[in-house]
Amino acid sequence: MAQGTVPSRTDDVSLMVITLEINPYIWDKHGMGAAFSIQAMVEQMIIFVNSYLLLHHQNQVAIITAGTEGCAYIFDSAASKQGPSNAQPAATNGSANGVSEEGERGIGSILASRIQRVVSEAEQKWKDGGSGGEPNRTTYLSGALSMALCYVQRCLRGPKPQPQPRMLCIHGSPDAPQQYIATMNAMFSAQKLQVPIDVCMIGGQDSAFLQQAAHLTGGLYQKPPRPEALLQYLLMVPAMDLHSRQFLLAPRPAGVDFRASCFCHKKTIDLGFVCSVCLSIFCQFSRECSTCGAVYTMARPTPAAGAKRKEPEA
Amino acid sequence: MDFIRYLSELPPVKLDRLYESHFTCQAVLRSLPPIAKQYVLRLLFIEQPIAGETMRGWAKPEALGKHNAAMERLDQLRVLLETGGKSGKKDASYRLNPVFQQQLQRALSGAIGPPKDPLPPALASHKPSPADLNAYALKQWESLLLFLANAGAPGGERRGDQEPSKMIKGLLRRAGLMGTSDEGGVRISDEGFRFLLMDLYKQLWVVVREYVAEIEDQGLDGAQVTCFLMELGFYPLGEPHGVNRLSSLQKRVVEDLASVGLVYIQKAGGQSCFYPTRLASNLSASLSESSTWQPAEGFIIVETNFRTYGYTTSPLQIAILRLFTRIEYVLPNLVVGTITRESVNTAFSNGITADQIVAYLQQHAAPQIRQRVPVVPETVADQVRLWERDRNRVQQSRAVLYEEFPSQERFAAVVDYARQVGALLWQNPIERRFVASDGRHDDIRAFIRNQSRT
Amino acid sequence: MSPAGPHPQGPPADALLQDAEEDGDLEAEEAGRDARAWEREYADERSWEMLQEDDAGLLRALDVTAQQRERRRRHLAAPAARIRRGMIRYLVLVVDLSRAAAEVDFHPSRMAVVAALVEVFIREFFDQNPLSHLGIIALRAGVAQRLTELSGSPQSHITALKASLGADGEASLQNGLDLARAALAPIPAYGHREVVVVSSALTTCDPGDIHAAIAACKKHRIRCSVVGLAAEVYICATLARLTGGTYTIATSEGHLRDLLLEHAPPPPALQQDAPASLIRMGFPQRQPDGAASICACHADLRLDGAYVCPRCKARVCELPTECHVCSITLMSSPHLARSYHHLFPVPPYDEWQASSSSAALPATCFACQAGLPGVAGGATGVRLVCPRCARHFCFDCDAIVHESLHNCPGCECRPAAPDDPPG
Repeated sequence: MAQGTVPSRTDDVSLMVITLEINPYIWDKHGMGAAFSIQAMVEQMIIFVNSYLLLHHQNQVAIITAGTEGCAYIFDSAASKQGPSNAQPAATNGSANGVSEEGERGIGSILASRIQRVVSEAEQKWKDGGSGGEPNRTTYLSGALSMALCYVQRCLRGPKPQPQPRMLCIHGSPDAPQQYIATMNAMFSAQKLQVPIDVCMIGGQDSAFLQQAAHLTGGLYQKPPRPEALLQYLLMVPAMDLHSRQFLLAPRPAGVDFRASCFCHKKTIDLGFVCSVCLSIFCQFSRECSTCGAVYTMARPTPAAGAKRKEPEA
Repeated sequence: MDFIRYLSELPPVKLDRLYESHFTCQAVLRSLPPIAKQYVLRLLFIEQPIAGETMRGWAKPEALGKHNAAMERLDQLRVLLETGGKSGKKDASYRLNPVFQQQLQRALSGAIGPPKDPLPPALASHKPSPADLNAYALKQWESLLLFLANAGAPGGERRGDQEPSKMIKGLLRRAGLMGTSDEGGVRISDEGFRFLLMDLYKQLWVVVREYVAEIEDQGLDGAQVTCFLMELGFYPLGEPHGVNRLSSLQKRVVEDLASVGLVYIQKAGGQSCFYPTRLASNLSASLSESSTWQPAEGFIIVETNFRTYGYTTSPLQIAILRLFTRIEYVLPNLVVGTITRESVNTAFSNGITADQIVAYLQQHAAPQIRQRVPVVPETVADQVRLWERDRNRVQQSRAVLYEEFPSQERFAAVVDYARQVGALLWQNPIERRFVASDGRHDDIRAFIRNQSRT
Repeated sequence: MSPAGPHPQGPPADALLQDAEEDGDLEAEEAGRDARAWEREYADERSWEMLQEDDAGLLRALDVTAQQRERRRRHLAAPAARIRRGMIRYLVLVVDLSRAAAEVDFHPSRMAVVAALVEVFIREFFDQNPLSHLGIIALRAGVAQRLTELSGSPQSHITALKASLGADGEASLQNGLDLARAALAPIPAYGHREVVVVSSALTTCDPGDIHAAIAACKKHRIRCSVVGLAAEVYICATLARLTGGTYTIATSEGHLRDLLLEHAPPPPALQQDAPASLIRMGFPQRQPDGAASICACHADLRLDGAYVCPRCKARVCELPTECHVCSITLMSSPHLARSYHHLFPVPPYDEWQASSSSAALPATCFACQAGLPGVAGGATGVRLVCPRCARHFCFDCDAIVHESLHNCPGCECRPAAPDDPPG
């Protein structure tokens, strides 16, 4: 599978859409609370966004939070003063600090207050233990990616000159197998649009989905060994705009895990069986497909190597 | 570009003082080339010096040229300081200028926003809308340019209704854009023609640089003025700022800038406040091809048959078009002209280059044809450049003709000598004459005299 | 003949005049036809009637609601239910390069247009069916030639087609069908066999009985479809009907493109066409760059990262492919995932009706935050609602979601419902 390439431009204006994961469960579970709290992450994100906006007066950014309760836009640097009903994103040409709706507050304070609200809502729901039954622990990553792609398409329909779009995923929780198809769909759409997806993992574990996404779209994947220094990692790698990536070295991608996971046990396999009707993957031979109900007529589990069945002349 | 050159020409002490304002630091960061910006970001929160070798390792091997250019620019602006390092460049290690670093960190952590001023009630009712501010900026800036363009028109008629202030005339003269003509009036110079065709960012910086230089000549503090200008660039558009908290120098600057169109002053009932306009935001814009805000939309369509259609009513734009096209029709909202050899030659004789003409046409192309690749048809662009080259067919150099040599050997010896000193331009051995450049005439004469003695 | 006797100068003036008139008529008629072609666009569509003025006499922005509804109608026509499709396809493309392909009613010639569109089709085919194989057969000078074998790499087909463009002779449909059947003979039973004929000729010149060839295709369960460029031909209609394919005729270049691309997504399939079976597949891991190894496909030492077959540990350079040593199909999960959206399509969105509920309407599209119509001062157009998650979307996001993204952003942001696709 060839690695995706990104088109090059001569200037460094970009549109960055950041999907930020706000999931109190991962902070709780991985015990990161001591060294690296959500507060610390929020502060570092603010500095990163400010510095990104400073780099070029036409840079635009939009931030989507992906949480356990849903996804939402919390910041859009192109939103004009008239409020959200104005459909066209006005080209920002003026102050570095984003235009605010409450006078001249810098974006730092707006961003901080909004993220804070989302975080406290999420934490509240987490503490309440959910409304009966198991609280939802998975983040809706595929939803956030889909919204980000729709936003990118909307900006590409806007007035020229258009910035180069790219996405940044800040993610901590492990992969959710039920979101596999949706995540892959979003990734193919990004690949077709030539939007690279950069990934920064903060949970201390790799995510196969996002590794594949970064590899196929031509983005950069990194897993900082010390998440409390997140800002420095962000400033080194994803801050590079697409123009500079032609000239600066990026972290070398480790081997990407392209293995599939089987539908019956959700474990990754490297040799398996695929149903010819619905393309579900199984790790062991069975008489019937559990997804589509097709009954298999072949009795033999493995055809002889190299032999192709000739169609019987009947 | 001018901003960078201006800063790099300042002595280090002044530059460090400029960096005490975080607005200047932000503006400088924006104007760096892309790779240099990345380097600054990477070093922003690091206190210890980083070895030069490490930094070289950040760039891909084939991009070493860009890396060196970026390092040089950072060094020029004293953003990156060399620390330690014993034997020259090999062991050099670098760190960010501490003042610069500190100010930038403060700015980025969102702790400082632009200053807010409550609006005095007397003025609140008359708050100008962004459209008003744009119109004002446009009018002021165009009147300045129109003055310049009309000064270049034949006969120097004053067609404009508004003459710019004395200060501005002084600035223009200082920048070398205007000179005195033969009749004693003012006339635009070659530099001035080139100025008219430049893009807005460069034009703005020429004026601003001269203004700061003028202030300094009057013995006042130029650094403070520069910092204030940078600050203006970061103010949000259309928001009022009180004049009271400014120092007297800054108040004066604000008034001067109002006449150029960078700010709009509103006075009522003894109170006054000013609004920065879009032109001011260009002061801190980053450098890239077409990113600065143009006061007016593009309006020119160039066809492959050399016709130009300018959808404009502004006398300035018509005057600029007149510089290099032959205007055929002037309709209420359209100006039709043709680019001919004569019109282009007139422009060349005024000192404008073909590249400037093509760049001007590209920048002001109408929105409908902006998508076209290339924006200006290749036939037109190539032809304009060819016409320019026509003028350079003949190269002149002052020279002296030597002839009537008594013998072939003498001739050959002198020619050899001339060739050795690099002055030989042409020779004809049959008729025994050659031409050598004027500068070495004395040497050649001495050689001939020596030769005739021996 | 004129009554004054034979003219010494040549043909009678009447005849000349008549000829001139006829020629003149013809030219005038042609000129009239050309003129009418571009005028027709204005006369028929009356685009000026759509302009409206507001109170000040200035033009108002066009109301795009009607146009959007028209475009959505096309999307809604496609079936959205979860039906069984032929995912693993072996398609033979039969391209007619006979003399009829040199006609110039498509600019610059039918052959050039077909070649360009076939390239688009090939890329789209492999994009939507990564597990499938394609081969090309050309009909030229009365014989059928195999241009490329059945394989899974788009580039080889495109270069082979481009290299052998030349129109000559007659088209022989029977030879084409026989050769296609022979090419499809060795494929495994779970693959769906298809033939798509791009035909420009109105005749077929066959050495035997074409009905026998059609019967053989039907027996071998090959689904033949035809896309015609000229007029309707009875034998092509018979072929399509008997084998369960489609026969469509293009009226313009854009129409031809649409018709060809209709064959790119997998067609609905029946159980008896291809029995279901479990295919053994390997999912190799990608090795990091810098490991030197000898690759089996090029028989050469390579340094860049590549994939290792899980069964026999041979090195392959790219996926999807068959291992050169043990013939197992090697696939990566994104390839399989590319086809999942056919099986789990996003249900089409409904247009929001003004009367439904009086609850507060969201002012912006859920996916892209653009302004939605129906709010005071908003844009014109249609507002769409997802039947499953009840979120509001704008027209452009609807097109994106159903055509390229295949995920509803609203449905992805809520807990899984019972009718959602499995992971």
